[in-house]
Amino acid sequence: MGKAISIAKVTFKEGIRERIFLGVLIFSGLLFLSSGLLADLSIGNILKVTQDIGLSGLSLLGLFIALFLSTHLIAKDLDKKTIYLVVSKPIARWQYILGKFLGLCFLTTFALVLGFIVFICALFYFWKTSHLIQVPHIAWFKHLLAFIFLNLKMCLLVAIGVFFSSFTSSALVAFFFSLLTYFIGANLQNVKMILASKIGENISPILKIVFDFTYWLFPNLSVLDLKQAAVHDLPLNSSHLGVSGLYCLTYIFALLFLASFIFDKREFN
Amino acid sequence: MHSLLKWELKNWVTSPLPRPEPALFLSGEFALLGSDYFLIKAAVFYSSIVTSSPNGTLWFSKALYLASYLDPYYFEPYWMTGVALPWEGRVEEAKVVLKRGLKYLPQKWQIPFYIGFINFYFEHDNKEAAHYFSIASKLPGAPSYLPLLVARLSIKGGETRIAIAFLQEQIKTVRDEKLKRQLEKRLKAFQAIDFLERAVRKYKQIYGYLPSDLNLLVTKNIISAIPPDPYGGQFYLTPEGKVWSTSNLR
Amino acid sequence: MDCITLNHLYKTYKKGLRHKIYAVKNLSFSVEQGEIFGFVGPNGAGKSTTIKILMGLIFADKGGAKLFGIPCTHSEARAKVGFVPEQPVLYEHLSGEEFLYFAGELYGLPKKENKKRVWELLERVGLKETGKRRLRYYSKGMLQRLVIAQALIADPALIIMDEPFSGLDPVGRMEIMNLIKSLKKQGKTVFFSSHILHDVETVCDRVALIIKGELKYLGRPDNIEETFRKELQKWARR
Repeated sequence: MGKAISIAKVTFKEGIRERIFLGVLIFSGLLFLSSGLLADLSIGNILKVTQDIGLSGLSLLGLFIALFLSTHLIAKDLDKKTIYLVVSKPIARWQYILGKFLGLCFLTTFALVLGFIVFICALFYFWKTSHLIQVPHIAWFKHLLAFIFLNLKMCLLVAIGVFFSSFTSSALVAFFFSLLTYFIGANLQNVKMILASKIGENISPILKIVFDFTYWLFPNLSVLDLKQAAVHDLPLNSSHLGVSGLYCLTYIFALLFLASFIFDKREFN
Repeated sequence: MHSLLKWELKNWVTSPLPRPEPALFLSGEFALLGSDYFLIKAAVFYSSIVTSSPNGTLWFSKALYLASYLDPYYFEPYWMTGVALPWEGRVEEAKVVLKRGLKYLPQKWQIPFYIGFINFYFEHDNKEAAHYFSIASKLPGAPSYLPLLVARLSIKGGETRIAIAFLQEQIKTVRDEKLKRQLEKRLKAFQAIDFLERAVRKYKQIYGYLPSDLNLLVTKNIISAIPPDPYGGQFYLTPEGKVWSTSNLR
Repeated sequence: MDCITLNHLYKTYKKGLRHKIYAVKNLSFSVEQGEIFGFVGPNGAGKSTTIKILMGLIFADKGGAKLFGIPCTHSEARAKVGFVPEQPVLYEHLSGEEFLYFAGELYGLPKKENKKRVWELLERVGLKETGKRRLRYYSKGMLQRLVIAQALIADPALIIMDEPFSGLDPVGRMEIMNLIKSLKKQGKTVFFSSHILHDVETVCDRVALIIKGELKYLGRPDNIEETFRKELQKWARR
C-alpha cells in the first residue's frame, strides 16, 4: 500500500504542476466569482441561477480533470516510457493502478475543494447583497452534500479513465471512451424516464432490451447528482444516499479490479 | 434599438427550439443551466423585442414549456407562464405547463391560482376556477383575499376586479423592470375598464338601460372623460354591457 | 546462486495473421554473482527484448527467466535489482531529489535512510547542486546520471543496463566505464547490453553474443569482434 501511496504522491505532483491545470483552476475561479453577475442577466431568481452556474461549473471542472487530465497523465507515462522506471521496480502492477487512481482522485478533489470554497464564498456574498424582495432560502448543507457526491462521481470517472488507459496507450482513445461512458451514464435516468412515458410506447422492443443491458452495464451517474436537490432544497433520503454512495464505491472497486487484471497482462514494448 | 442588433436579437431569441426530450438528453446533468437559458430567451421575447404573432407566441409557449421541462422544480417558468402566456392567446399551452407544475411544486400557491384564473377569466369556467382557487387558498403564503375571490366568482362583473387583484399581486414580486412595465400597463388598462364598467352600471341604474356608446357617459356627466387605452386602442361597449378595447390589450 | 538465469527462453511477435517472428529463440545462459557480463549483438538481435523480460516489462512465451532464483514475473524478483533503461524519460515536473526519493520509496526504503541515500547519490553522480531543480531543466547527460543514481538508490546486488553507452560522448562513456568498474569492486554484478564491442571487450568478464534472437557465443570477451564477424557471416549465408 505504501508504494501505491508513493505513486499517488508523484501523480498528484505531476498533475498539479501541469500548466493546463493551473489555467483551468483560474478560469473556474473567475467563473464562480462572476456567477452572480452572469445571473443578473436572467429574469429569474438570481440566486438560483448563481447556484446553477456554480454547481455546473464545478461539474465541468471535475469532468475536465477526471476525464482529460487523468487519461493524459497515464498515457504520458506509457507513451514516453516513464513507466519503465516504475514497473521495473519491485512493485506489483495493481499497486501502480491503485497509486495512479489515488493520485488522480487527490488531484480532482483538491481542485474541486478550491472551486467549492470560491463558489460558496461567492454565493454567500451574492446572497447577502441580494436585492430580491423575497430572498430565497439557501440549503447550505445540501450544497455540501451535493459537493461530496460530485467528488464521488469524479472519483468514479477517474476510475473509468484509469480502466480505459489500462489497455490503450493513446490518450485520445482513452479520453474518447471515458467521455462516451460519462455521457451514457449521465443520461441513463433521462432515457429511462422517456421510455416510460408515452413516447416509449412507440419504441421497438429490441431497442428496449439494448437499453436495459446498457442500464445494467454502465454506471448510473445521475444517482450521484444532487444539484437539483441542493438548488431547490428538495428532500433527501439518507438511505438512498447511502445506497448511491455504496453503488459508486462498488463500481470503482470493480473498475480498478478489472484495470489491474488487464494491466497485469500488459506488455511495455 | 439599432435595426441590425434588433434583427440579430430577434434571430437569437426565436431560433428553432429543440424538442424537450432530446434537449433533456443532450443537456444531461446541465439541465438546470439549460432551463435558465431557455427562460432567459423567453423573457427577452416577452420584453417586447419581438412583436406578437401566431408563430411568435407559439415559440414563446414552447420556450416556457422547455424551461419547465428541463428543471421542473424551477418556479419562474411557471410564473411567467401564468402571468404572460394566456394574454398572448396561448391558454391551452399555459394550462399544460401549469398542470405539470402542480405535480412538482405542490406547495406553491401561485400555480393553482394561475390555473384558476385562466379557467375563470379566459374560459369562463367558474366551477373549475373555484376548485383551483380553493386549492391555492390552502397553501402556505396564499393571499388572504383568495377565499373572497372564490366567493366573488358568482358575482356578475367581478372578472375585471379579479384580474386587477391578480395583476397587483404579480407586480409586487416581479424584479425585471421591463416585465414590471408590461404588467403595469395591463393593470392600467384593466383599471380603466373597471372604471368604465362601474360608470356603465351607474348609467343603467339611473336610466334603466345600457348606454349605446361610452361617450354618453361623458355627455351625461357620469365621468369627466374616457381614460385612454395604454395599448393605443379605443374602449367600446359590448352588447353584453362589458367594456373592451379595439387593441385587445396587445 | 546465479543472479540471472535464462532457461530456453522464447519470445515471438506476430507478423500479420499467421506468421510470427522470433525476437528471442531458445536462449539459455546464466550470470554469476560479482561478474561484469556483456550482452552483445547487432541492432534488432533481441538484447532489449531479453532485458525487458528480465525486468518484467514483457513476458516470455516459453521458458524461464529468473533473478536470484525468483521468476521475473514476480515483483519480488526485482528487489535487489537496479535498472537503467535505454533513453529513459523521467517525470519532468519532479526535482532530482523528489525523483530519487520516489525511486527509494518504490524499493521500500525507510524514510530516513531514503533521504540520506538520495543526497549521497546526488553527490556521487555530481548532481548535488541541481538536486532541487525540476527535471525538465536537466540536460541529457544530467538525466542519464540521475537514471543511474535511481538504479543504485537501494544499493542493489545486480545492476542491469540497456545500452548504457548509447548517445554518449567519449567522456560520458568513460564515466560509465569507471562506474561499472567501481561497482564490480563493491562486489556487485553488472549486466549490460551493447552493440559497441570495444566497450564490452574492455570491461567485461564474460559476454553472450546474440544474433536474431539466438545465442551464438558465450564466454570470455577476448577477440569478441572476430567472433561477432564470423557469426554474422554464418547467419548471412543461411
